[in-house]
Amino acid sequence: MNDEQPDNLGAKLSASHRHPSPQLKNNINFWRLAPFCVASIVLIPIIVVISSIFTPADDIWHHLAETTLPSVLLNTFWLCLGVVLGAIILGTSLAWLTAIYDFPGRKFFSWALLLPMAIPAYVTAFVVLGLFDYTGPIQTYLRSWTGAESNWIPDFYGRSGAILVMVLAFYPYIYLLARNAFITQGKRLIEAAQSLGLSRKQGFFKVALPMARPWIIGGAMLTLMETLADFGTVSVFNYDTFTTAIYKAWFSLFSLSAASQLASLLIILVFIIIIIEQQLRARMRFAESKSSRTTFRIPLLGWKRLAACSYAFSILFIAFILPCSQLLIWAIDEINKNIDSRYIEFLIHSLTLSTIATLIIGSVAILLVYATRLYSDKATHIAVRIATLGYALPGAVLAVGIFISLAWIDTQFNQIILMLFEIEVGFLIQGTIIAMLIAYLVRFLAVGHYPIDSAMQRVTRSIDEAARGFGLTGWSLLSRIHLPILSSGIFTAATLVFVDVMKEMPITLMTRPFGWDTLAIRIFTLTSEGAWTQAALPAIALVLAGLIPIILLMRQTEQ
Amino acid sequence: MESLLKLTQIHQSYHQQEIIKHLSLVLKKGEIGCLLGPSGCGKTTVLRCIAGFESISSGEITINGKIVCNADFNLPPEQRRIGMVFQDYALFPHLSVSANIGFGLQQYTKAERTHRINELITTVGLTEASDRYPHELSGGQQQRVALARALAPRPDLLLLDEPFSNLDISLRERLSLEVRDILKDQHTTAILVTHDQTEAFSVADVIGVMHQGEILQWDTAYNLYHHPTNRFVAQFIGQGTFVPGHLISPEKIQIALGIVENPDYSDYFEQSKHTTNEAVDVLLRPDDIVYNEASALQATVVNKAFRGANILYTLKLSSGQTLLSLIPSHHNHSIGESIGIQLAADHVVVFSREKM
Repeated sequence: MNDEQPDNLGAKLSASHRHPSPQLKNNINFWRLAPFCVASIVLIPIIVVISSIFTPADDIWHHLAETTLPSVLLNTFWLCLGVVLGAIILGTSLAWLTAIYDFPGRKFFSWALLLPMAIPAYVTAFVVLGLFDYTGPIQTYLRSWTGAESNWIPDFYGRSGAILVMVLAFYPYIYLLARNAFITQGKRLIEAAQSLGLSRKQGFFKVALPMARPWIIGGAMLTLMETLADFGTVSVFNYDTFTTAIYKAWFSLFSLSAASQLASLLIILVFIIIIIEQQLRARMRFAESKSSRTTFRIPLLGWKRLAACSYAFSILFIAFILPCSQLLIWAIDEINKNIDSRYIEFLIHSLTLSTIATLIIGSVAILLVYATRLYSDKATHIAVRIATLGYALPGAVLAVGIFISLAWIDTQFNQIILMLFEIEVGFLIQGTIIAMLIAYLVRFLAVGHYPIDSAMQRVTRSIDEAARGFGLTGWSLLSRIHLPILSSGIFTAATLVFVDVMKEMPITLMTRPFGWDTLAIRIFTLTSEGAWTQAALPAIALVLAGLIPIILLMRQTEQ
Repeated sequence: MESLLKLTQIHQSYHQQEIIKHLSLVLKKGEIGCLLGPSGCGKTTVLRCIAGFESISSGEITINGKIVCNADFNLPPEQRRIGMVFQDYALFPHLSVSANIGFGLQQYTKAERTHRINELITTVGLTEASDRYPHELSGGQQQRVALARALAPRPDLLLLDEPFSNLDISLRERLSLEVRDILKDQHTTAILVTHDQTEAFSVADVIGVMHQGEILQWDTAYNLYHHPTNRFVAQFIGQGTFVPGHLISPEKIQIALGIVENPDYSDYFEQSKHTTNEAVDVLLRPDDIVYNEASALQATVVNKAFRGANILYTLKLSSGQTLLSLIPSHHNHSIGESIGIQLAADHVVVFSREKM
């Protein structure tokens, strides 16, 4: 990875925060530069995409602007509005119920309600479509029951379907954040309101809800980012938003410039959301309560017990149990019919990609964490912030930005080689696995960075100093103190990145080498042909992988 | 004076564990009461039952002559006319200081509300901070806001749950006296929960020492120290050691250090008949034993703690009995040294030996 010896790093760690030696500060070295290099890898595709606004528009772009753009904008607006409102209502109500009240199954529901996060939204999407398909179980049942042909069947194609599926997939973000806010201070503040003469219901609306607003809106912003980034769900429902429009401009109309201009509009939307989210996060820190003493929950009585229980269960059923069972039924059918030997190939592709990406992202994340420990100046912090910005960027945007950047590098390189040696070497990076890996790095670095960075917070300066007091320096300091403390963070980071890469669809779809199909790509191909049952097998593999980080998360929340 | 708060035989158990055991107490109007005890003794639960956040399995609580809860009835907290100061203050993070204080004044007109808020802000000395938000205040200021907010609607009864435990010690002492002044100034009846004796002594008029869900003694600070009716209270309040002895007559007790007179028999003991030669335990406070160079009675210094004007010595007699003694600090002796001591108790508390 680098030519620095670990001993050197340890020695510097020891030296730098005792008295930062001028020699170290002036010396331009690897650790100093690393964050800026990573930040520029993230920044280049963003700049490339945004700058395309200023490039002269071609005919296809005019055509797009006149035909698809208005509907894309309108679609995006309704989708965002519907998903965010739905997820807020679902997430907040479930959070309040499980944080404050006691009812049968409360403990179970408080973690089980996170399970829908394990299913990629595009999987739930095609399961819903399959369920309500003409030959699907629900229509078949209705026909056999009423004997009639035309029944009321909800129109799940398009808007309502996409909104429903994304609400079910993304409400856990708000649930998780709001629940945290309610658990740490909700009950005490409600008690305070009651002691001041308000009823519990008044207290909820006057105190608990306004108090939790930063968390709820923070969760809503995450939901919004996921909604804007989503490609798989909207393409299953044939509901055109920015991401699908980018894909179509690029791969159907073969206009990369139109694609990047659409991407630039999307990126501006995303940046507005990031700014709002950052401000809320600052407010959240202020509102944090010091004590988190757990008190008794309020027991629900009579019909309310049943109502709470069945509400939580019906959400869990629709969002998790139903899609999983349907997937299992289809998958068992498929295995008996024809087990495709190519599944092994897709699986191997997915696992290989995820493993390599995890190794790269993990190493870069550790590098960033140590770089900020060595140099905690403002420039380094800004560089790390930029480096971890990619998670907010929709995969489709990144794919376009990275493809254009790499194509440019390839062209320049080819011209130089041609000039010097008069040989045509062809494209070296674009259309290779390298392009995909760079895109993954940009998109998922934040996912890997956060857990390792939080683990590093526990290695305080005084721990280092205490260790040195016992004569531990250099490699022995790293291996006996840092590594054991960091290991759980590194493990969490690796798991999260591994699963995220496996589920990733648009980046893989748009930057993969020809014929490099993964499980997610297989699902995309099969669902665009309406072959729901066949898509169940790769989907189950993704759900199983997706369960791992959720179990980790649940362990954390339950303690 | 009429009683404002009355707890009659209240009992609460949770998961087959008895948290409050048939506890009773009476607090008069304008009085400040205190539940004092080690953590886990159930004192906070009693407070939460009075507030209405928890229910009781038997017994009865009345506030201002009105039953607020018994085994099958529980008046919601918001209808009990109580005010509460929480241990972590539970200030509303999204509201400013004055909005926090005015929160319970929904029924007031706008002018009345502003008047009351200003009045309280002045009382607690936060005029400069009225527009600030809780996270911008120091711990002591947050504590004052919490107090002002609870007092604003003029509750019949104010409940304070370990109100000073989040403050540092110097601030704790000053604020506890200040809070007492404010409560007395507002003629508030209040009940305080704490594990800290000095806090209890400086704020409360009556103190109940709690242990394992029971009030062992409900009394003034003076009586808790000088007339403890119970071994736990005797050891929990102040310092002291039990020394074995036996009765010569009901007025005189022989112990290893000499003869003590004026015994104060604990409640339990008084019920039994005092017979000559009966074995007893005598509580000796550190100030009951004084230094006397000429004394024949010698003790070895086992431990010492410098207290400024005095040194608290832990002494050991040849019999193995340990004693505590508070001796002026110019008598500076090192550990292991033998010193002469003398009994100087004009009044002692005596417990029956059987009640170990």
